[in-house]
Amino acid sequence: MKRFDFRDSPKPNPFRIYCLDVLRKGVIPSGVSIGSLADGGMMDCSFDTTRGAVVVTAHGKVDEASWEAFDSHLEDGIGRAVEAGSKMLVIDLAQLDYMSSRGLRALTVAKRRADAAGIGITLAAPNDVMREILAISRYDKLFSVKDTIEESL
Amino acid sequence: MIIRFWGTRGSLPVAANASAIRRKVAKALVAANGRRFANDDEALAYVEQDLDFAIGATYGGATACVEIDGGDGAFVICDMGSGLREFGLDALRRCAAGHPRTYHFFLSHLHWDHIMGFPFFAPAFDPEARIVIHAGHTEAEQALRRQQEEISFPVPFDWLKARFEFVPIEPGMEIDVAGLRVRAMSQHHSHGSFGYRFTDKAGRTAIFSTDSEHKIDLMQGESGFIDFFRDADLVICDTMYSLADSVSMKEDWGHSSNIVAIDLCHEAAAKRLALFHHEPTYDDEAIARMHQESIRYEALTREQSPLDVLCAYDGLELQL
Repeated sequence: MKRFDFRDSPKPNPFRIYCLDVLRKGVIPSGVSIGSLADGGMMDCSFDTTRGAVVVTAHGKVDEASWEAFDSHLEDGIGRAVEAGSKMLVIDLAQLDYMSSRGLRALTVAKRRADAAGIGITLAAPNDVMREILAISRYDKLFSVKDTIEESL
Repeated sequence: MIIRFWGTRGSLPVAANASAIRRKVAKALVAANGRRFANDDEALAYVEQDLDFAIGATYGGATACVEIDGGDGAFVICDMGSGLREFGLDALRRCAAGHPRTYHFFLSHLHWDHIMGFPFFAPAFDPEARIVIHAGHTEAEQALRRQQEEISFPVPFDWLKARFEFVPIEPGMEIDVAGLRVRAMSQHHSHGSFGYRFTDKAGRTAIFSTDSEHKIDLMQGESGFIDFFRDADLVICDTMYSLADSVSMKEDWGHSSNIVAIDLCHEAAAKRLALFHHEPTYDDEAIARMHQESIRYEALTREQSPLDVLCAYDGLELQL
């Protein structure tokens, strides 16, 4: 299995490194959000170490302008799951307005990375718009979609 | 500029079978709910005005062939799918009424479904016809000759009477043809394909972009397509699969999805999208459902001006 290494990322991201340092120091309380990005606050990353899953929370929208950041944070989330020995990545969509095909395709890239690392991905708590988009794109056939994070764990 | 769709199906020509027609008739009768019609015209008006398109009509099953009428005399045709036969017959009728007998073809690529109509293209037998074939692939002549070799077809290419010219076209170059400025773009497809941007003298623009896969690992390069589609009045786009199919089982099959097409058109501020190259396994109801879902997705993700999402069908004519 290829081991994920944040340091190999071609796009250094201070927030990502901050998250990683915190993770490595093992000081993240269960379920506590680490913070938000300086680039408009598109995403938060949070961990639930007690339930054995890494939760990536997205909010706002994922489109042409933001898909690369979304992709980067999904990559981070998978890396954190690998580091933590977790077999589950939950993508919390509750605060996401919508996602275009760019975001959906980033989900596919993340799924491939996760599959290679033996990690499952669940999409949690999509709003009505995202539910429609998942259905129209047929992504609800590719991903497990749950109503809540609790159901995903 | 007038756009005429002579063939809109992907990969393989299809036709509605007896069972499909019976289902349409049954649905139409149920929908009529006892109404009486004095004559065929009244019944036809009911079919056209009151019935869903998928019940009262059909998207058709001929493979890719689209006419771009720039109003400057010569015919301009994108691809030679099985829809070319019907175009050829119509062109003969127009030529009999005085239309110039010059045909400019622009080929997206040379796969069978995009050239299979050529052996049945009646104007090729017209000694007064001039047929200019613009193609990004240098093997265009070879491909057309090969499918008329005796092992495949009884009439060899050399028996054709028209005057033929094969003109290579390169991505990025602009040429003026029949009152249209034409620019080509490379697309991702098995053995490559080419999209074409047509602009008439009034500045109206139509894009023909079929058999173009927008791959996950090439998303950063999609700005090229956005530029190519920029401010177009019409984008004819390959929307053969759902996005999920295009990134899973049918990845690398060379086609794209309705929602990627909508996103690209949104980003390019295009005015109208024609869903095109329909999956041959889809019946009319499945295509209509895909069309409605596409309209809904456009509304859900719209940030600026609305994009008019229409679904191309054999026989559709658009005035831009």
